[in-house]
Amino acid sequence: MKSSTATGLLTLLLLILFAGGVFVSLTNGSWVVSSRRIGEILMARCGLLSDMQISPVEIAIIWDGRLPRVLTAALVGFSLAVAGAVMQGIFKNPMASPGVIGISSGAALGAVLALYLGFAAIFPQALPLMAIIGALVTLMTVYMIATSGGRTSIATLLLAGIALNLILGAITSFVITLSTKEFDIGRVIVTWLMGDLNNRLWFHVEIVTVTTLAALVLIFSFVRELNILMLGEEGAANLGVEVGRVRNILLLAASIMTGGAIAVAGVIGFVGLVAPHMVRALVGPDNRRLIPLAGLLGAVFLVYADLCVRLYIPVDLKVGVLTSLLGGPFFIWQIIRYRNRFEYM
Amino acid sequence: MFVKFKILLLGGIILLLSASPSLSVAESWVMPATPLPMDELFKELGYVRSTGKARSDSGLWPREIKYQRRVIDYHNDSFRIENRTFRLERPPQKIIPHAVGITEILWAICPRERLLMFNTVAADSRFSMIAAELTATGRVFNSKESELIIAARPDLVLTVIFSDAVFKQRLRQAGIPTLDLGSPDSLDSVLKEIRLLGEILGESGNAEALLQVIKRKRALLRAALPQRKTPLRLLYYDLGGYIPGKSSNFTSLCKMVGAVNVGAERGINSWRQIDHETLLKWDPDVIIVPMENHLEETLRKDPLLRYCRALREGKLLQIPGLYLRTNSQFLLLSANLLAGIIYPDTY
Repeated sequence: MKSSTATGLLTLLLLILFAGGVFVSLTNGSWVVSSRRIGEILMARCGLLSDMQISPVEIAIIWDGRLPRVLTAALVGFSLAVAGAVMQGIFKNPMASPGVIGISSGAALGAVLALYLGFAAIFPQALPLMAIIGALVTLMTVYMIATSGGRTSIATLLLAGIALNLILGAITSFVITLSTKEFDIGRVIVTWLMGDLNNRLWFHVEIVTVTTLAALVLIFSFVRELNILMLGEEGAANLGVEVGRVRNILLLAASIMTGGAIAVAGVIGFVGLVAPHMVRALVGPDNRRLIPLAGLLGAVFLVYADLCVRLYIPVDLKVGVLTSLLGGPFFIWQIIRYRNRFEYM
Repeated sequence: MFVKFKILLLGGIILLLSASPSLSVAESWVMPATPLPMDELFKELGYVRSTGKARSDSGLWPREIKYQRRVIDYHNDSFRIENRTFRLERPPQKIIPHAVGITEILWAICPRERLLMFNTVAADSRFSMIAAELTATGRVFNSKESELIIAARPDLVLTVIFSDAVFKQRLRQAGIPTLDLGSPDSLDSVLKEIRLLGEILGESGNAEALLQVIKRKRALLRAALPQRKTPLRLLYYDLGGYIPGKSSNFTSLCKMVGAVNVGAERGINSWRQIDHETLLKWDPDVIIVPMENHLEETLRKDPLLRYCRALREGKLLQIPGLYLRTNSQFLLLSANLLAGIIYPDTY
């Protein structure tokens, strides 16, 4: 099948799945609200219809409850998948994901500190802000460690990322240990670290929209260069790409996206690793097609995962646990399937 | 430059961690009028001595004590009862309680010189009603320091199902007599625990005296409650949207104040996280939140919950978290306070 045909079909399929997921999310919940009424509410809130005849409770349930939740899920899934695709392109490594250089751990530590110190309770925006700050500080630190004489090597970036992941993970564990003394705070931190989309509000949507859009602008400004970078740094430099600058900007964009996603939804694993893989297998490695489609698949994946934990799984399962339970085995299956193609040391 | 940055980062993290979560405590809370005077009730529940001759103190030693242990299974949101037996050669004289609830009961019924040490949680005012008194003894240990306990050679350590498993194993390996109790979930199970502890310590007389105080005060509280056609439906909302159910002590508190725990009514057993849409659907008459962590402010600002009856009618009420966590005779004190909070016009 031609790549453009595959892209078209995949886009259509993902858009249908996405629309279906959003529809099911909006129409199902503790309250019964008819799909016609939901349509009226959405139109009324967009100024296309008068909301005089609609119960304010129903408006609140759909507009302030279910819609921000499903949009947060979609944007978080989109961000994580795009960040994963960019990381895999920069590092030319299929194992690369937003967590590989410690950004996820930095964001997680920022958020855990906001919860433990009580900032999140006083000022709800403190949690996402501290998560984003955590992600950016981690990125800066990784760069400071890995840069020597104005040059940053991929190998040292990865090594610094591994080291920082361990350090930040240890500090996070320490904070969790401290928080267990206060049972309720400990429980919230653990819940958050498992990925949670419960009770998301419009400000969560706003935060993740801003980070996603800002990062997307940066990524698509350099998407052609990213394609060239995948051929090798020397080759890219010969073709006139400012390798260091482009890589730094793309890493910054991926960090902003990851930080924004983790800030509003907690730690959600495997979306950034699995979605780009699946899409690459269908449409090839061209990032101009890969990145938006991987993002769309990530959004679809997380919308359905959240739907499952919210409506169909009776135990108190968190969305991040479900994505790992689904994504992990898929990734192992991919490794087994393609293990013969890997180079051996 | 990098070294400076590293020092700065490390310093920042240490500074943040060294700050306790004290920012989360609300300031503006006034103790409401209650059916029974709080100070008097606290004193009566906190220190009890029998006036007559203690009954079982003259009983036979060694004695074999049969007891039931309630074990919570959080994974399956259920609990089970285990029947156990414990043998004591003689009345224990050097006792270490390892849980707040047990410490509070022992502080009331046991001669205090027989209580060797108290753990840090029992001496923490966020969790314990008698924190100040325990701290004043100077005999407070970190709850996981098994070596310190082994060195003190107690003749009985009272642990609970939540006590660290390795800690309990080390005590057993060192030959320290350890009795592992369950987790009371109601005033009735606290009454059973008081009776059991009295029997274990050879202080049945004092235990019986405490039981009589509780029963008398419970009857007085019940008599002071307002007469209502339908009981108030109470929902206890904790941080993260966690709601206690049937086997939580909140159900017992609700029963004592003539109310219904909405979480139990809706089929929750231990604790479960719910979303705000579900909370709106359940529409409790009153939402109780712990005073800490600014939960009241957070819920008040939630766009979905402004349609909840409790919020519309100003029945989103705070109570210091300590009163919601208690698992001892002080449950009655909590119920007394809760009655004062939910029936403000009665007292």
